[in-house]
Amino acid sequence: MGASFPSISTTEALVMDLLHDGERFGLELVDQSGGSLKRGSIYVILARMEAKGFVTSRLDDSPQPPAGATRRLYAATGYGIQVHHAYGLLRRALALRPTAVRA
Amino acid sequence: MTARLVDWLGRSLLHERTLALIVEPALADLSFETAGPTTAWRPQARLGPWVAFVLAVWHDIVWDPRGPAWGRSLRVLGTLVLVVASYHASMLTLMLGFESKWRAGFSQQFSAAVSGQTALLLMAITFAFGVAWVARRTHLADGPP
Repeated sequence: MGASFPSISTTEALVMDLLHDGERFGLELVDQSGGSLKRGSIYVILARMEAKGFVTSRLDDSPQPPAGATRRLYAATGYGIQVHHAYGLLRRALALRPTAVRA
Repeated sequence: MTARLVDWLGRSLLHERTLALIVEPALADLSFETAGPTTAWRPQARLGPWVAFVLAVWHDIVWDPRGPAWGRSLRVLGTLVLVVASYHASMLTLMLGFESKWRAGFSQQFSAAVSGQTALLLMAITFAFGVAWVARRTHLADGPP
């Protein structure tokens, strides 16, 4: 009974969409989101997603600028893709609700 | 300057993992952008680590891996702040006095009382949070959850 049902927000779903074809830096996700993701909040979103098991991250091993911190690369996990896919199906199924039912 | 200050604040206040996952990547972006040829994003680049730091503090409180333990502390802290706030609100009501409500100079009296009480309340809250942070960091030093 202790296991909680996974949930994915629309912002997290957007991140999952952007990560579908491989690893990305946080700033790349901000750039590619067209303003939907903000640079100040992107790492909080990614940290929460990592805690949920939707994404995984690793430190970039390419050469860094002198005296700079190492950037982090993010990738979607199999579990994250599965949850994202399931929620996509659910959203589409709920969107197909017939209008007659409402009355 | 921004990077060093945010880094110092983060190391002083935040959980190690929160620092690694939220503040350090934001600082890495800052150093990456300031080292690069583009300058278009500089104001946002400087603001980014600060926003990340503020959100990291919030994240650290709400999404702490030791959530249950910290949650209990938060409830105690909230109760203490409520008790102090109630006490000061009662004192404020008594100090103002109901019969002097419509006298001349009420507004000055009110604002002086409110500012005094607000200062006391802020001191109480700051003290309570200071104690909570120290207790929490000591708790974290015990070992992994």
